[in-house]
Amino acid sequence: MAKILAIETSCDETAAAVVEDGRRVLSNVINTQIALHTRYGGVVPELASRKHIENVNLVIKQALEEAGETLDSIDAVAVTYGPGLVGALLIGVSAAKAIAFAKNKPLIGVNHIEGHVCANLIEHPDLEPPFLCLIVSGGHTHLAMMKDYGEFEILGRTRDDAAGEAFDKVARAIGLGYPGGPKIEKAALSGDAGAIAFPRGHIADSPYDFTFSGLKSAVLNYINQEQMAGREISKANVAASFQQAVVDSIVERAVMAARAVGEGAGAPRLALAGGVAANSYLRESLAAACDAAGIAFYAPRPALCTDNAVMIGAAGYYHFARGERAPLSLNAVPNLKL
Amino acid sequence: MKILSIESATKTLSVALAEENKILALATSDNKATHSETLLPLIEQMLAERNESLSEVDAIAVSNGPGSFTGLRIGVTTAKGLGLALDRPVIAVPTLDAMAYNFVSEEGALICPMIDARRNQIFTGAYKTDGSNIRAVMNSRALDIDELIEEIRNLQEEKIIFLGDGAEFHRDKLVEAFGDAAIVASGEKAHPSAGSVALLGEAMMKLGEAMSADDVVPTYLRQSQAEREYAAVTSIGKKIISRTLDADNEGKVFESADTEADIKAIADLESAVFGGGAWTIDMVKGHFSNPCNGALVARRRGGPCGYVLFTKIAGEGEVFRVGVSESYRRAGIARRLLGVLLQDSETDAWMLEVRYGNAPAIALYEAMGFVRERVIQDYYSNPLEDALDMRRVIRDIED
Repeated sequence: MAKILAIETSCDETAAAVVEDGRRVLSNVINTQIALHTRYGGVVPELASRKHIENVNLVIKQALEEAGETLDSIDAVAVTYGPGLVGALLIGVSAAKAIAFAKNKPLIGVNHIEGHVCANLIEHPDLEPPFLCLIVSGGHTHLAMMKDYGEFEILGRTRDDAAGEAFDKVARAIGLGYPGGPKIEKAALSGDAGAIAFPRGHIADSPYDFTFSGLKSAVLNYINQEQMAGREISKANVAASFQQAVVDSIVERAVMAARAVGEGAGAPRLALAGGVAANSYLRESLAAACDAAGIAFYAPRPALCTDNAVMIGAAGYYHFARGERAPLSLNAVPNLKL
Repeated sequence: MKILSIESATKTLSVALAEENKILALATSDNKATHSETLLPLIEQMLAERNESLSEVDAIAVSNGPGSFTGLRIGVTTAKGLGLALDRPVIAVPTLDAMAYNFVSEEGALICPMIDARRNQIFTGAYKTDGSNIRAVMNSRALDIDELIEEIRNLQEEKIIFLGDGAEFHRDKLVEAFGDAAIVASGEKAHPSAGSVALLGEAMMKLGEAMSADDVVPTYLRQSQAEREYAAVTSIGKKIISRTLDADNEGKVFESADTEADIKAIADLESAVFGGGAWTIDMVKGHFSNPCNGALVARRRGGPCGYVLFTKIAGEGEVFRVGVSESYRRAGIARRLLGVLLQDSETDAWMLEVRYGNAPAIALYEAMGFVRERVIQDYYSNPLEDALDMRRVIRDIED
C-alpha cells in the first residue's frame, strides 16, 4: 500500500490530495481562482501565480489533515510539472521538491494530461489499460491510446485551438464571459442546435486530428454579419449551434478511432477526460454514440474532470510503483507533451 | 540558532547557512540553469559538504523581494515548503535590506541598493548604518532613475554607496549627478547574497519577526500588468483606452482617452478603407465596451490616419482590423503600429485573418513574423473570398 501526496497548480486551481494505491481518494482539496480571473475575461498568468503562492501550504495541510495523514506517513510526493502556465506550475513544483527533500520522500513528476486520463482510474476501479482516451480541455484536444500505465500513443490531436479555447472565445464573442464552457452549455439549453449551420472542420489525410479555429472564425463572422445587418443575434441559438458543431466533431472522431483500435482487441473501450468532459451535452452525446456502436464508454464524474490533484495522485502512483523518481532539479515544462 | 537562507531575487542564486552572526557556508550558482533547477541541489550540496543536516536548521530565511517575480516565487515557495515539512518558521527578509546589509560596516555612508525593475524603473531604497544595524531612511519602491537621483539629492549625503544591477546600468548618470560622493559598488558585495539574508534573518528572528511558513509571500512592489490595465480601464469607465502612435514623431507612443472623436474617426477610416465590408460605428463602439479589447492609433497633425483594433486575453492576442488612410499609404504606418503592438510583453501569440488575395497585407504580416496557418474557405463576403489564417508566436513561456 502506498499513499501519495499529490499537488497540482498548472492553471487556476491550487489543489492537493492524498491518494492510496492510485485508486482510493483519501482527500481532495481544491482552491479555485475563478472569481479572481472572471473580471479579466480569462486566466491572468501573473495573478494565478500570486494566488498559488498564497494558498499552497494551506491546501497541502488541509489535504493531509482530511486524509488523516502527515508528511511522515505518506510514501511519496507527486506533482504536475507540465503542461500549463510556467509561473503557476513552478509553485507546485517548488513546494513538492522542498517537501520531498526535507522529508526524504520520493518525488514523482506527473504530466497534467496523463493526470486527466487517470481520473478514470479513480472513477472506475476495475478499468485497466489498454483503452482509448479522448482528452478534451482548455488547452488540449487529444485522441490517445493508453497502452499501459504511463504509456501513451497519440492517434490525433488538434491542429489549432483546443476545444476549450474555442468555447472560451465564442463565449467572449457573444458576451457570455469566462469561463466559457459552463456558460455556453447553460445558454445552449434554451437554444436551437440546428438554427445556424456552422462548419465541422476536417483535416485531409488525418482522420483523427481536430480543428476548431475555422468553426470559431465562422461564429465570429456570423456575429459580425448579423450586427452589420442590424439584426439582433440569439445568444442561445449561437451557443447551441456552436456546441453542436464541437460535439459532432469530437464524437465522430472518437467513435471512428474506438472502432479502429477495437478491432482484434476485444470490445473497444473509450474513456473521456479533461475539463471539457464536464460538459454534460458532450458526455451524453458520446455515451449515446458509444452505446449505439457497441463501445464501452467511461467518464469520471464532472468534479474529477476539471483540474484536481486526485488525478495527479492516481497517475503518480503508477510511476512510483514502477520505481520512477524525479530529481531535485525537476523543472516546470510549460509545453510538456503526452 | 542555525539559519538556512535563500537568495533568488536576481540573476545570481545563492544559499547560506549561518549561526550566531557567523556565516558557516555560502554556495553560489553561476551556471546557466534556471533557479528552479538549481536551488535544491545547491542546498543539498552545501549541507553535504559541511556534514550538516537539514533537521538542525532552526529557521529558513528567504529574500522575499522586490526582484524577478519568477525568481522570488521559486525561492519563497521553496522556503515555505521547507518550513512546512520541517515545522520551522520562515523569515521574510526584504531583498533591498539584505543588499544594504552587505555594507553594514560603512558607518556614515548612505547605502542605496538598486535592482533593475525593467520598464525603465528600478526597485530601490536608501539606508544608513550604525556599524552593526541598518535603518531605512526612504521607503522602498519602484522609481525611474531621475526620480531616484532627485530623492537622494534631497538627503544631502557626502558619501553614497550605490549597488546592484540597477546601479551598474545607471553608473554614468549616478557619477554625473553626485560626482565624487558616489561610489558604485563592484564585486561580490555589489549584489544580493544569501550570506546577508542569513545574518539579517537571524537578527530579525531575534526581534520576533519570524513567521509561519504558511503566511510568507513575496513583496512585489508592483501590481501585475493586468491589474494596472484593469485599473486604467475602470477609472475612465467606457472611454477608449488606446495607446497612440504619433506618426510625425518617430513612433512615440502615448496614452489617449479621446473617446468619441477617435471612435468616429476609426469608423470613418473603416468605411473609406473597407467600403461594404467595413465595421459600422456601432461595431467600433462595441469593440471598446470589452475591457480585453484595445486600439492603437497613428496620428498625423493631430488626426488619426491609421489604426489597429485588437483583443488580448490570457497571453493570446488577435488583430481584428488594420487600416491606414489612403493618403498615408506606403509610409510604413501599419508596420509601425504592428511593431508597437507586437512588443506587448503580456502576449505570447498573435493571430489574424486576412483576405487571401490581399498580397501587400500578407507580405507585411510575413515581414512582421507571422506565418501562414491555413486557409478558411469562403470566409469573407462582399466579395466572397477565402481567408488566410496567420499566427505569430513570440515565445512559449511568460516570465
